[in-house]
Amino acid sequence: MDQAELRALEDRCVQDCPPSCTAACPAHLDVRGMMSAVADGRLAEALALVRAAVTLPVAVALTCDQPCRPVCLRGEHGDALMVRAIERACVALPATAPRGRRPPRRRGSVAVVGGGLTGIAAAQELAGKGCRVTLLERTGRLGGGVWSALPQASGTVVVAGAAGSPAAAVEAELAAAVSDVTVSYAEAITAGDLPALRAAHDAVILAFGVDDPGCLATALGSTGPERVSGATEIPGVFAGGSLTRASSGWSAVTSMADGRSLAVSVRRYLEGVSLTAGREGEGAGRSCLHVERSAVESAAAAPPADPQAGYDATEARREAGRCLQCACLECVKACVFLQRYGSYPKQYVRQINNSLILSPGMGYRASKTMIDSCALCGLCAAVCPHDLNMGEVCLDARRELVEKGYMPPAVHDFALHDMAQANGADFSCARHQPGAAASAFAFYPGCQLPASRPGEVRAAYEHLASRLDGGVGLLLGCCGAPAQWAGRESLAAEATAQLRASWETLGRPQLILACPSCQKTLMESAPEIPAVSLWEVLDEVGLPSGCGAAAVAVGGSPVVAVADPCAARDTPAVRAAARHLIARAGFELVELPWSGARTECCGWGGLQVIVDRQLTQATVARRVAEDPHDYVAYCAMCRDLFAGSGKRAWHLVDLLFGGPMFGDPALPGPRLTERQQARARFRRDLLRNAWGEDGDPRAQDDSTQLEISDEMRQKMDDELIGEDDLAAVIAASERSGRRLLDSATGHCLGHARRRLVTLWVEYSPLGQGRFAIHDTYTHRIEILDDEATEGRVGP
Amino acid sequence: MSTVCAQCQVELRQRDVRLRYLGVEFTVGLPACPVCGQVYISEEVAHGRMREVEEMLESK
Ligand code: SF4
Ligand code: SF4
Ligand code: SF4
Ligand SMILES: [Zn+2]
Repeated sequence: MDQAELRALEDRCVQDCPPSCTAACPAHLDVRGMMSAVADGRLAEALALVRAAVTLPVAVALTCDQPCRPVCLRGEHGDALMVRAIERACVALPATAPRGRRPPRRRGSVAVVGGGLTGIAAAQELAGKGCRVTLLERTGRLGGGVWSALPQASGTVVVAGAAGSPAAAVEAELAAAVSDVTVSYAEAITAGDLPALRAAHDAVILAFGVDDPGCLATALGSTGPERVSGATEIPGVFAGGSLTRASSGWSAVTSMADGRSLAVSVRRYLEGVSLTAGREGEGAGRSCLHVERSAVESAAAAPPADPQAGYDATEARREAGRCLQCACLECVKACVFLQRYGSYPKQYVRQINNSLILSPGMGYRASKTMIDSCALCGLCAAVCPHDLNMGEVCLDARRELVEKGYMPPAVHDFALHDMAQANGADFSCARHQPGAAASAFAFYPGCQLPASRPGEVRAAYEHLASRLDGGVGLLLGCCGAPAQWAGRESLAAEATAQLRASWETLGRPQLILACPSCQKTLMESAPEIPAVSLWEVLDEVGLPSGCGAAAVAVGGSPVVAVADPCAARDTPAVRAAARHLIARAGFELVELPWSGARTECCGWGGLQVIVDRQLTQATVARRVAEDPHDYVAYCAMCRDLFAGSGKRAWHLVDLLFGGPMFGDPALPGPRLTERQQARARFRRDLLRNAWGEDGDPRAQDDSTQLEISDEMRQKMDDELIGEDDLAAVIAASERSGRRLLDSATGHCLGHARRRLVTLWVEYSPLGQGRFAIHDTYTHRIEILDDEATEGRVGP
Repeated sequence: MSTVCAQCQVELRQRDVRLRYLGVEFTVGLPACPVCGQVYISEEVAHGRMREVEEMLESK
């Protein structure tokens, strides 16, 4: 992915778009933020938001025509928010001392023609920026359209803590607004006066109302002022305000926003920069924010008890609490990983983009754990209105880091080593069905399920062999998914090549896959190999006679919840077959809230569990809390991670091939560090029993026996230290005599380099090749001038 | 410190030890056997200072 592609992805996320209310507001008032602050009782903060967007907050709070309300999404679920009434509650707050600092006088004298809200806002903005401003008003009274709009808000109002009439409040605000402006109640300015006015000032703003008496409009030419900047055909003359709008009626906020916008144009003009660049978003528009509202309950507006007085703080709080706080965040709601980093994909993609492309390597620290801990499960894309897939972004980033040499090798080392073992002599093999010379099919159970459920996998193989004609071969190995996930494309390609070669030695049979990740991986990496899921095949050829024993054993027709693996997100046929089989096995089935195409990953995907174990624990905790029933998974890692967290979870093979020895849903599966041995044992036993192959060429060296507490085993698994790792270090330190001794406890401390880490083991010899393990830990840093680690142990 | 070198039966003493990670070599003072040179890195140091250095170098 290049920078442009990443930018395009970033643009797909709409979470940054303003909500409907803000988009419709000509001043882009942060209504959502204001509502949130008011609802929390932080009125002063809300007032600050109003002031940031609105130059004349009292006039607006009393007379705004509220273009935000017709588009407020709350309006579709009750009534739109009472936005103006909330603003009024904000401006009622006692005034804080005015900010003292006067801006420095700068170049520029500006004439503003028209003392309505547009002209006043423009004049105030420019004066505040240090311009010398003269405001010309012909009627003898500032305010223009505001006076005819005001009667709607008659009675007494509280502004800045003091009660008074609305007119007096507005009068005071306007007077304060022009305190740094020279106001001249001149005769009406006509088109003929314009040249002289322009000559006397650096810029002129024409901000006249609907009833322009001087026919200045003729000065604007036939096309009118430029839409964004208000520039006219005369350089330095800008026009805006009600006259230039064909809109229906006067609007306080539109007039005020016009004034601010004209002030921006004048400043740009005086500074000699582009009048229009980067201003496309100004003014009222439509929101592109996606807001999921299927669960929103209706709520009617709560009008103030005394309509004259408006909301008091408590009432305002209640009303503001009805705001939906419109946001997208669909993916963030769905994904624990995205929640973990406190932001949303637009920002994440930008961060990754910055660290990868703008300064390769340098910013990696900020995003490295993020890039490496995504489960690559694609749920984000499934829920995103614009299909943004953070998994693709993260995988691509991993590949780029690997390619450029920025990926620390130790990050995924455990998983890659595990894969190498599964594709090595310990596990990998290809056999025709015993007694057959050809294979129309080959069962490929993957590398994890045989470690978790050796008995059931064997039963499944025998069942397939008995039901299918043409021979059912056996293929053992790893599909290369771990290398894919680690971003190691060449390693993944090697795994695919190895599988392809074995498939060819068996005569190109159709593969029957028990692992959804294998299926997903092979569909992409080896589409020429015909493959089908075990579940679809079983649904077709029928179930073994003993099937249903599991259901009977747990009594009645037990209810289970099916947990789709993330790898089955795009294979509805596989998901349907799994459901069908669960029902045929005598179980009643309920759906989880996140299932089917919107299913969640368990945390094995993308090697998340290797990189950030705690994140996976949080992911699993959320998953298993979705339903109280036993879960049925059809991915070995889902099943084992659920059960490892204490949730009762079956693997689908337990239901189908359960005899007296079916897998116990309450028991955890093998630990990550125990899987290598478990899958090696599976192969040894199966080849011995079904093919009569004796004597594994690499029989295990059982000469070292370790006594390890459960607690220590958990620690080993958390740190990805295997029992064989400990045995190798102990053997080396016993052989060489090089070790430390804790004179207080008498414990030995040996260390050696194992793969990409230095492994330390605190142990006590118990005699006859037995050792008690007290502690173990690793670091990635290598010790150079230390003989004990010079001869590395093992691979 | 109650840790001794099992082979030389002497107490450890601080010395400069050369370390390497991701192609970068550096020297750190660590307890080691003054006779045979065997180094000691405690779990506290491994998960503390060492990890900090690892993370620093990985982010380079
Ligand atoms: S519900 Fe709140 S955030 Fe959404 S449009 Fe209405 S005021 Fe704005
Ligand atoms: S679902 Fe996520 S990525 Fe998609 S628009 Fe919403 S916040 Fe952005
Ligand atoms: S873990 Fe899955 S849902 Fe979350 S960002 Fe990664 S791919 Fe998307
Ligand atoms: Zn020594």
